[in-house]
Amino acid sequence: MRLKLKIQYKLALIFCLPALVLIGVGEIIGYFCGYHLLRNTILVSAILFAFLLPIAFISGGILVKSIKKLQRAMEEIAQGNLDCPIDIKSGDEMEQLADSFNDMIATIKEGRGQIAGRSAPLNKPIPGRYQKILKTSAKATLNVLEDLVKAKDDLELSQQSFHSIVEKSADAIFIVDRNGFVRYVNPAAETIFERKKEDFIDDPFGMPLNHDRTEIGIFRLKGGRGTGEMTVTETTWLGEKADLVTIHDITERKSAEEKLIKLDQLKTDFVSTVSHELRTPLTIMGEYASIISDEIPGKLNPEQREYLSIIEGNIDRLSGIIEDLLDISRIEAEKVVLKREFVDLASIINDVVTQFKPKADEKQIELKTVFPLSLPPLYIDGNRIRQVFTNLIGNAIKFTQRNGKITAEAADKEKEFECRVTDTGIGIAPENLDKVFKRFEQFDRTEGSGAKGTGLGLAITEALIQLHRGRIWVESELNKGSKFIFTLPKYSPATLFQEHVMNSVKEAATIGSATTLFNISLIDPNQLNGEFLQGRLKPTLKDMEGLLGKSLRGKGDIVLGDVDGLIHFLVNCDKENALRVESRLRQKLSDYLVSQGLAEKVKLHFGRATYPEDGSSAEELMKKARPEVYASKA
Amino acid sequence: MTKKKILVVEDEAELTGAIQIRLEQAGYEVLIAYDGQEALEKARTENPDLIVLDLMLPKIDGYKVCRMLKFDEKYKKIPVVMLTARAQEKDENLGYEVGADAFITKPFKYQVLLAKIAELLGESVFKSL
Repeated sequence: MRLKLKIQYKLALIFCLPALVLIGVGEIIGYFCGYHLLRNTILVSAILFAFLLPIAFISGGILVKSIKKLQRAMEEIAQGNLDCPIDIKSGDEMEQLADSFNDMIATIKEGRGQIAGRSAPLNKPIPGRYQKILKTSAKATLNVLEDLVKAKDDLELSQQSFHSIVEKSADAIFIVDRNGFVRYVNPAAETIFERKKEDFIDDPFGMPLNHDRTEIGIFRLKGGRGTGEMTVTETTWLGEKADLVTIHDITERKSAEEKLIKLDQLKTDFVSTVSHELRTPLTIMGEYASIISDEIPGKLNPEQREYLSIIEGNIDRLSGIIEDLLDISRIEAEKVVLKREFVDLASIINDVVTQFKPKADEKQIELKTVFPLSLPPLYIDGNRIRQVFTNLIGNAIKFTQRNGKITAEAADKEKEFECRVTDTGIGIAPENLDKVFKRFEQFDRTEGSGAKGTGLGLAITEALIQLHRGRIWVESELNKGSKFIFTLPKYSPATLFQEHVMNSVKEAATIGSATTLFNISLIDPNQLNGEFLQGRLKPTLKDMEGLLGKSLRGKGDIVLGDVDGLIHFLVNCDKENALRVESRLRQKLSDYLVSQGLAEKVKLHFGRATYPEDGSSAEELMKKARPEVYASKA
Repeated sequence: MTKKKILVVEDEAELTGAIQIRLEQAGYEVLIAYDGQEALEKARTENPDLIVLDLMLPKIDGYKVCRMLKFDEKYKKIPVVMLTARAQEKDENLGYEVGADAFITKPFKYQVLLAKIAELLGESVFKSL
């Protein structure tokens, strides 16, 4: 509206101004020409204005109308409506302007139309073959979607399983990446180490990770200390190689172990201290008593001699009791180890019988022995079996009256040896038979012969026989006599050795380690030195055994040499270490042979087989380690 | 014939007394040391013909004394009889390692000791009994 008026006013002014100027000029000229045009001027002006003003307004209005048309059209276009052609047919610049605008609109419309045109086909129906493809693709997509959903469910399930296994595990579980940084810890780790997850994650694990079971110290946040058993295995974490570390808290077990070790040490110390402390005064007493008895400080009168003899007798008795007590405590503390060797049983029995002959003669008891002509050597602890016979024969003499009979026998019974000590003594009542081997039990204490027992003799005897893996029992009838029988299992070198190897293999299998069987033999390459070698073979082998024992020192097992001149031993090592062990031992033994001047005369031969690489059973190992020997034995 | 000198090393004075009586009876001259250090000193100054050495000694123990003597050119020829408590295998093994010539377990009968001494000194065994 304003626009319209502004233009029209402007136009009016443009029209009227020149008119005014003309009138003014006319007036001035008239004045000079003597015309009084004032009345006429006003009239003329009024007429002029009366005509000009409307003309100005109308032409202005026509122009404004065109402009308004344009403006409306623009508004329409602004709204998005392109279908309003601008209709101006004034035949002048306005029409030109309108035409330009119309052209512009048409261009825009065309553009839009093109776009519209492109989408038109979608509204057409789809041909059959495309329909089929669409259907199949749709189905396939659906399947994929179903699989995805199922996979998502499975993932959730496995996450739950993972959660229930790892998150609930009582052992600490860590994932450590290749650079040694912790990527994951489970709640148990937080508990065991008394630290929060955040303290672990992204920090270095801090310990070397080797793939063996290791014991590590657990340092808890609040200062406590524990022990853990750490196992490391390879795994992947988020697509990359990592280590899975499991730590099992063995603090309690460790402390129990330590207590056990301490207790064991205490037992050993107790036994050795007590033994020393008890024996020393006894030894001193015994020594001085015998010095006096031998009349070194001066002669003794008969009474002195008699009383001294009583003193000495009781010193011996006390010694015997202390020895028995110490023996039984050592056996109970499992501190007694048998020293097995191949011994002649007959000679042991004979020795003991000879020792007791005087006592037997005193009571006029017949003491005799019965054994086969040739008794094979037994693999036993000679001293301990001697102790057994001493106890049994001693008891027999104690509990047999005058003119009685005692027999000591040994028999070869195929799988084992059987020994018997029979007497015609007072016998044992049936109700006491099962108490006979119990500690401190004594029945019908003898009159007369002085030394009463401690009640430990048979208990010790039983323990010793059991250590030998034998059995002992008694048959007896009151007033008729008693028969003590015990067995000693046979150990041929082969059986013994096989047992050792089997145990070693079993142990290795259980704990998952390796063990190696070595055989060493001395071979006489020239067969010339037969005689010479015979004599020196056994002691040489024994020395070598000793050397080996010191070199291996507990890590392995030494088993006695065979009669063929073999030393077998087992070492708890794998194949790689076995090679090292062999070369080291070869050196040591060669040096020894050189020192003995035997280097030229014999050749050292090593055989070796490792479990599990070379064989999975004792037989296989034994075959591999020394083929010729075992083949011939088979 | 000069008497052979025997050095007895044992920390129980009463026991050494008894041993001394027996050894002197048998015709030996007896020297006594009550600990390892004294033993080494006496060995150096007195030059004994044989040493009877107890294992449990104060200051320096029997094994060390034996080793020191046996590894010394001047004294390694002197025979050493070791007195051990109950024959424990490890005691003996260790003893042999340090060079002992003989072992006698305590308690012992004096005859056994005398016989061993005579044997090591290359004398007739029967003389001593």
